[in-house]
Amino acid sequence: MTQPDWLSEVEPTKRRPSSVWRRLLRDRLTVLGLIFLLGLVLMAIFAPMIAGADPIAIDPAIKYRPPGGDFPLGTDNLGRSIWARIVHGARITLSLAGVAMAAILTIGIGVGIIAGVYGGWVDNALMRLVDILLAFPGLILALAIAGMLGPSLGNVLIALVAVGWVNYARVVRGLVLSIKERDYVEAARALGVSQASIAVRHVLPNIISPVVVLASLDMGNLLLSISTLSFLGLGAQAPTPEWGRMLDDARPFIQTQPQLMIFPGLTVFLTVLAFNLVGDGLRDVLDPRQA
Amino acid sequence: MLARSFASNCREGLIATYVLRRLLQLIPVMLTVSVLTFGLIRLAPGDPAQVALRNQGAMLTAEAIAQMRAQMGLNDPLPAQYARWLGRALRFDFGLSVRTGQPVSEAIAGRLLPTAQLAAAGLLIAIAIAFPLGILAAVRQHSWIDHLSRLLALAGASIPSFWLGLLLIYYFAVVLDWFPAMGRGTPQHLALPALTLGLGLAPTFARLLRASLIEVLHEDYIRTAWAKGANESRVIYRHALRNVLLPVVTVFGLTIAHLLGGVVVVETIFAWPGVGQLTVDAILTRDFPTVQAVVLLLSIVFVLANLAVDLCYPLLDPRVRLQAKN
Repeated sequence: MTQPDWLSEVEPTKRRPSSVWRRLLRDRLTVLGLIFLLGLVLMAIFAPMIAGADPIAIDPAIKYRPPGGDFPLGTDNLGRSIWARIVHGARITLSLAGVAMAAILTIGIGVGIIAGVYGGWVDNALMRLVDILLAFPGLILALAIAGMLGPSLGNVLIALVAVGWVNYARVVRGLVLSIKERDYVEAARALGVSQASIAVRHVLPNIISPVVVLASLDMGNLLLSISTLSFLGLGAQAPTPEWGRMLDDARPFIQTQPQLMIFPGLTVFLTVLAFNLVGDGLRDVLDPRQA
Repeated sequence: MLARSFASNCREGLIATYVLRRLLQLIPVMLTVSVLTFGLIRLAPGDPAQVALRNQGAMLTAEAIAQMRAQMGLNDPLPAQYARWLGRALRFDFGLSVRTGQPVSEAIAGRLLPTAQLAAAGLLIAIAIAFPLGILAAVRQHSWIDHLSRLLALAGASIPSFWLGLLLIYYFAVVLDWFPAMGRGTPQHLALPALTLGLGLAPTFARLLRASLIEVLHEDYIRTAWAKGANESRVIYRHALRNVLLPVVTVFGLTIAHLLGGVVVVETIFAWPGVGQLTVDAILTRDFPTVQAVVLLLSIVFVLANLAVDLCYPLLDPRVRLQAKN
């Protein structure tokens, strides 16, 4: 697998954040994505107030209600409000994806910088490990790890981090190697600045914007992986209101109650779409070829 | 000189050396992959012997557990266990499925054809959609069809394949009743799974094809072709598209992982009796020998497919210069 060629073009220098924001907000689709994600975050934070019903309590007397009234999206086969379950699902999905991405970035950037800055046998050993992990198809490896650890959201997190950091380590190492050749790093080294200090003060700030672009484009994939693993039965277990889980629960009723699978699926689709829109927008802003 | 021809690459036997070197490099990769695959089941909590007994519905007495441990060779040191497992795996002997008692290799063998059919049909559909769309989007850059292809690519990258599959089942199997929703048997059974797989891949294909075609259209020899007075279709089909082959091969390489992941999801939704469904079933039922075998198999397919893509470069592009020595 080769590194996407736009990545080498992403300018590794710091831009003033205000100018990035201004240019980001010029693109209508990006703004749309940002607004959607902001709404989703608010929805997750204030879930109990917005949901209007308990996402888990079962009441067979009100099953299969059509959308409307107390149940904006209707009720499922157990009489639970689909809207309430989607709203609470935002909490699970967003926090899981956020934690996973934070862990992936920490490990990926850390390993990449260590390999790039220290070089030698450290670099060799770390990159061999990266090569080995890249020899597995990602989703299959995550599936196997999560499956072996046992079905739970925590294990999905472990599996996704175990598979996800690899690409960042590779990209960051490449960036570090090119930054290492720059004059200002040379100068710092000549002044006797320690390796660790060079890594933190000179290298880290210069890899941030390419990594931000990569991470924002990757968030959508991470979300898809979470819901895919849950859909396959490896992530959230019943009665957790997770979106992929809800779709799996809705499968037996596809003939008679298609609305059960329409709304959770639409939610995953729109959320991933919003992340991709913002990711595209960020790439355009941080990619000098587009400027 | 950069432009060394394919002929001279061949004459010097460089291609053969290159292929041989790449094949040799596979050995350490495969070995480490096999170590990881073997170690995978160590992630599982609990004693594999107890899991096996539970799967057989046997009583979990201390005696039975001890006997099962001995039978499974779990008392040997790990390296010895690995060596034995690898030795058998090299002879396609992955032991018996804990779930069905059937030899794992037989179970896998019976699943290969359905998966190959599904993957091939899915790829064909993806290509049939992506080529016209990608070419039109590149030739008519910034036109409505270009914008349409961009929107489709965005949607295609964002739609969960399991939801797309369920939507297709609902409209084409439940509402219209054109195709069966599940299983395998008639050609009609292939339609919806292949469509789910193909629709998922097509938008990415189209965008990458567009990007590489646009790059080629800016090359000097295209300008020369225009200057000679060649008409548009001649420029595109004779000059530009031929040179797009290489990036298309790269694109294919980049989507192999997607294809393998897609097969797993699609087979599960449509109850398609292939390797992907076997993988999910084995993982959910903790059928360790099958999990090990399937993960090893899929990884080997993945590594070989990537190798095939790499090997295509010097064959397709005479500008790729092979080094005589490493």
